[in-house]
Parts: sequence; C-alpha cells; structure tokens
Amino acid sequence: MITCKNVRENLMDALAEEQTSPEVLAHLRQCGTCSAELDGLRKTMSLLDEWEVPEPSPYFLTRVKAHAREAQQKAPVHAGPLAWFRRPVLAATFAAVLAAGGVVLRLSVFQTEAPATPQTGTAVADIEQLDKNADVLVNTDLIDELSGAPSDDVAEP
Amino acid sequence: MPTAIDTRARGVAAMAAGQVPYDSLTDAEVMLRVGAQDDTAAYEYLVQKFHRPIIAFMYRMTRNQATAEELAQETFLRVYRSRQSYAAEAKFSTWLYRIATNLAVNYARDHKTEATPGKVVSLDEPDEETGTTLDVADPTMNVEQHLLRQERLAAIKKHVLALPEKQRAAVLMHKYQGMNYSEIASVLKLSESATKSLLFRAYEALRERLKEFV
Repeated sequence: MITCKNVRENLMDALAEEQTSPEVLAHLRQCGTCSAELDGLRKTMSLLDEWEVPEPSPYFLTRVKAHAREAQQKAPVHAGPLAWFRRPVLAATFAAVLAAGGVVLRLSVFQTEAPATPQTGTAVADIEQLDKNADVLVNTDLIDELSGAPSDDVAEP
Repeated sequence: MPTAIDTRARGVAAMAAGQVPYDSLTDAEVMLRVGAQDDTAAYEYLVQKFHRPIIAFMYRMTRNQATAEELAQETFLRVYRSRQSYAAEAKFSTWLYRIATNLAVNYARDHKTEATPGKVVSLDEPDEETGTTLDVADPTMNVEQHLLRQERLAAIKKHVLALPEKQRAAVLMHKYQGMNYSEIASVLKLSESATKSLLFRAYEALRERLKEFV
C-alpha cells in the first residue's frame, strides 16, 4: 500500500509528468492532501515564469571575443619549440627524466673511475715505478734484438 | 548515447574533412576543434549559442545585470583557457554550466548580502538591477495591477535568492534553463535521486514562502 510519504518522494516525477507510477497517480486522485501539494507546486512553478531577464548588452560578444584574442596572444597554442614546456605535466616529466639521467651518469662515473694512485716517495709507488721501468727496458731489449744489436741480458761468450 | 571516444573520433574525422558547418557537429565536437586547432570561429560559435542562457542564469543567481555579464564573460574565458584540457567526457553544456555554477556560487559567497525587506517600487527611477524603467504604459494593466506584479516579482527574486546555493542553482537550471534531472545531477555532481530530492525541498520552500501570491 503506497503512503503519502512515498508519494511526496515522487512528486518531482509527477510535476515533470514523466515516469510516474500508476500507484502514485491513483493515490493522487484519491488523496486530497497530496493532490493539493502537487497543485501548489505547479502553481509555484508557474509563478516563477514571471521572472524575466533583461536583454544582454550589445557589446557582450565583442568583449568576450576580444578577451579570447588577448588570451590567445598571451599563451598561443603553438608558440615555438618550448611551448610544450609550459604544460606542468610535461615540465614535471622532463625534470624527472633529467634527474634520473643525472643519477645514472653519476653512478657510471663512480664505476669507471681509475683506482687511486699512491703518492710518489712511498714504498708502494717506488716499486710500481720500477715495474714500469722494467717493462720499458724489456721493450728496449726487444727493439735491440730486432735491429741486430746485442742484448744486455745475454752475456757475450 | 555516444561515448567520449565516439565523440572525439567524430570530431577528429570532421576536422580532417576541412570546412565543416558547426551546426552539423555536437557542441562537444565543436569544442574539440577549439582545443585541437585553436579554431577561433568554433569558439565564437559556442559563445554565440550559449551567451544568452548563461547571462540569464548568472542574472538570476546574482540579481544584477552588470555582474551577470561579468561572470558570464569570465565563464567563456575559462572555457577558452581550458580548451586543450576539455575531454568531452560530459556534454559541453554540462561542463559549461559547471564552470558557471562554480563562479556564481563563489561570487555569492564573496558578496553575501542580507535579505532586504520588500522595498518601495518607484515608477520613475530605473531599476538598480536591470537599469530599465518600469513600463507603465501596458494597456492591459492599471497602475495597481502593475504595482502588485512588481511586488510579486520582488518576492520571487528575494525568495529564490534566499535559497541555499545548490538549491538555487538547481531550481534555476530546472525551471529557466530547461535542463532535466540527469543534466542538473551531472552539473552539481549529485545522483539523480539526490537532485530530485534537492529540487523538491527547494520548490517546497518556495511554495511555502510565496503562498500569498499563488
């Protein structure tokens, strides 16, 4: 059984005369309170028809067009190669890519850095220097052999 | 109902076709042209089509013609500035009214005025809201009828303005802009049933407050 409360919840549909259920319509025919309320709402809506609006200013369209042109000139859509940079999302993405690139570059520099060389004058540095000299001397011997000169390492009979 | 993807695809196809009369496109498709091609003529077409209803909506929200035109101008300027972010997820008019409603509600909050009691209507001085003088030469009305009408009008304006902002916007969109419950619900980001309930409460309040004129 439909109640007055149910009908009140559906009065907006009844006002718009759309999709009003047959039960609601039947209730409205029988219930004086609900039908009076619907009638009051209809009259209130008709009363609102009296409120008319003045004509817009004849310069309104001109003003809007001028403002749009001004906005277009201030921030044109395709304003040079860096226009995209003004978009916050793209700018943020660009900044993130730059930061990520910087981190990768820094890491790779760490990995390829030459090991620290000991200071000259220390025992380790002197031994390393001697090793290098020995390599040079061996290479010199090889050149001498190729040119037919006697090698220092081989004792002459 | 076409989806946003259908609308975008049709808009892009229409663009590829070159010169397209805007009347043959949906408003959403025209707006997509504004964003994609910076088509000023398409933007002006939309302003031309919607400026009267938006000014009328703003006038009834603010009760002042100069303010209404300023807010309507700002609405269209925001539409232009947002042309590239428009996604056609909703009808263009829904998006437009959402911008307009936000502006009107913000304005109302910033310029909250006390409800003024019924004022004396002068037949000689221009109306402060519209800037027009009353037309007493209407042959179908005598002076007394005219004054009664003015009193009724003042009451309507006063009580509509006194409604809470959301109720007021809903009533104006429903009663004067001819929008259905679903469209109003989209603008106000409410469910359809919540919108019906909001409208019912608003009309009930107006029925009670305006009963002496009904």
